[in-house]
Amino acid sequence: MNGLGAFLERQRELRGAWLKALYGVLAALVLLNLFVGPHEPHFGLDAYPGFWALFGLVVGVLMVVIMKRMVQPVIVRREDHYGDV
Amino acid sequence: METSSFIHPAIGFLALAAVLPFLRGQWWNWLLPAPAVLAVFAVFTMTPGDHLTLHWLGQTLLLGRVDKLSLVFAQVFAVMSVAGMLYAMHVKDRGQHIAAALYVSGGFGCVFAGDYLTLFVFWELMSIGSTFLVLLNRTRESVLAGFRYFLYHTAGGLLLLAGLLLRYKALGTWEFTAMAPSANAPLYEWLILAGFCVNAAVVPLHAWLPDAYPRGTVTGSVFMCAYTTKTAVYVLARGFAGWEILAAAGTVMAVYGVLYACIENNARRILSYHIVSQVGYMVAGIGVGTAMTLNGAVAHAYAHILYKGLLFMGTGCLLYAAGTAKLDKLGGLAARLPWVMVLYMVAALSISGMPVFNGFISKTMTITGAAEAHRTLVALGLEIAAVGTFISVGIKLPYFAFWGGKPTDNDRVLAPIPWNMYAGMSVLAVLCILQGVAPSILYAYLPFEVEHPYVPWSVWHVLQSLLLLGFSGLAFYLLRKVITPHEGLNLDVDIAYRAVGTGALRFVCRPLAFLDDRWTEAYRTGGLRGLMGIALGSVWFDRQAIDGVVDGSARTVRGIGGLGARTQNGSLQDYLGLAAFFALCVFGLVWYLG
Repeated sequence: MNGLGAFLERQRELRGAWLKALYGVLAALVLLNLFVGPHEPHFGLDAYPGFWALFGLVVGVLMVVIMKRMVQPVIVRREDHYGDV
Repeated sequence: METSSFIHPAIGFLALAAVLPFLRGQWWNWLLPAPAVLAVFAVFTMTPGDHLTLHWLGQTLLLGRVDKLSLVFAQVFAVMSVAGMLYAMHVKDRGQHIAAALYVSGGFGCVFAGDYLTLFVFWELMSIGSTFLVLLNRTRESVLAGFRYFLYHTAGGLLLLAGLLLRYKALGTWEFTAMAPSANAPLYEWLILAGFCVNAAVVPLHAWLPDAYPRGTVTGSVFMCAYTTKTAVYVLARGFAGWEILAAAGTVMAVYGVLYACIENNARRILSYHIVSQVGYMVAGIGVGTAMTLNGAVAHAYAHILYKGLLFMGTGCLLYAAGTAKLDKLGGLAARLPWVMVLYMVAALSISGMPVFNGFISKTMTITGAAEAHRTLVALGLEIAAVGTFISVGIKLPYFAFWGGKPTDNDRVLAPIPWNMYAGMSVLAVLCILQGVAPSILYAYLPFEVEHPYVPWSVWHVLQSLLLLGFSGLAFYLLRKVITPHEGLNLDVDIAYRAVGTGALRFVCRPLAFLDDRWTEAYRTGGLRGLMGIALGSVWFDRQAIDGVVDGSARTVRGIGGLGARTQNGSLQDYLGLAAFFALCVFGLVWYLG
């Protein structure tokens, strides 16, 4: 295992610290959004601070839940459904 | 013939395809990047204007239309071919290299084609070359997918052919020019548009792409993901800018692709659905049709070729080393393939539009352009697609391939990855970052004049991207147990044409086979007896009179017949290859004599 591989292996043990850093960065971004906004909002609502944070979170959650929990169960088949494999 | 300031970049690739079968030994793999380097040189030295006109059957064909639009596409095609050929250098199967070379030369031919006939010839050459890149994976799965791919593209090619023939009948010209958007456009324009849309994988004509690309060879899919759809984007940008239907179609593609990618398990199929999605950004930009969105479409095509090539290379490495690209079978590989992971992540962050990487400077241009043209729904759809892109390609794929909550997989035997694969990936990774940091490297080549040039690196753009991506990342983290990929096949619109195919096969197998049986029976009893009678007569005549004279020629005829019988072996691959070979011979002859 080379240097980079060993480094990555060590980071697995620091999982909690990385997660805290992520939360910190996200909070800082929203805080910054209070002071920095778009010159010309594209949709109107995006003039409000936190709009894009909420947009990313809500669209992401809805997309995963709808596609994995509601759509996929209906359209999924066995891997060799068409007899190709 | 004016050639002083124009070398057609296809020449080198055609020459490579022509000589490769005759070279002995293994040294020829050093020859592979040569035509690509020549193509880069050609693109940077050619001067705008019309080059290489050809007179054939009373028609004037234009093989070298060089303007800003064709130049920027040719440039990225050339750069990509260098990386692609480097990445493929270790492959010993010459067939794959020949197919790739023909395919790439077809791409260059389309980009520089000034008339529909030339365009059509190279369009079909691409179709044949790419079919072989699927077939030559040599598994049952890929041979079947290759057949479907070829049938589908033949149908698309026929739409284009029908359109351009009707257009010639109506207008008396083959010239390939922009078509003005209008509600009551003539039928031929719709046919041509449909032909282009097949190759652009416009939903619902897209199913060939996620069907074939995951089944191509490791190195072949890298080429395919770059050229077919982007050639289609180029012809759409030239012919159909401002067509309203494309704005809607592109937005649908952008969202549709990410939704399917969200539930896919096969890494290369996730990327394939993301081609549909990313090409959606370009098609939408072309449909909106302002200078800014057209530039956005071109810039995104350029950036997309670089990072999508790199994404397919990264997943190709997984497939090459681990023997599978299915996420449920991978995991715990970060420490064992660290550089593959890092190079993959460069591409993954690029496609997601993360600042510093090139997707950031191209994707935001299209979205901002759409919003400034007051196309709120288009812009909204593209933002939704951006969230899905980061979740699927930016996090899900690498997370489940390299970590997946599993311990480091020390037991799995990994095939060592050759240096040239790393070299090909590094070229693209460096370019992705360079363009992201210094957008002018890309913007300098954009073809359309805008009043206020787009500036991606503003505090707000950076903050907006980070907010959007950061919180979609949080959504993934919260739902990582829900999004875990499982084995399975997700039905798509190909269910429709597979039903048609199965139906046709049943029709041939049952009623037609019955008729064939009866006919054989009738022939055996009636026809054969008559023939025997004639034959007996002929034998007598032959023995008495002609024997000595004809013996020689009979032997010749038998020889030719034998050759014919050998070529007609009933396998589509061989017919295809022969047809392409003869077409190229005729083409070369015309070129030489003209």
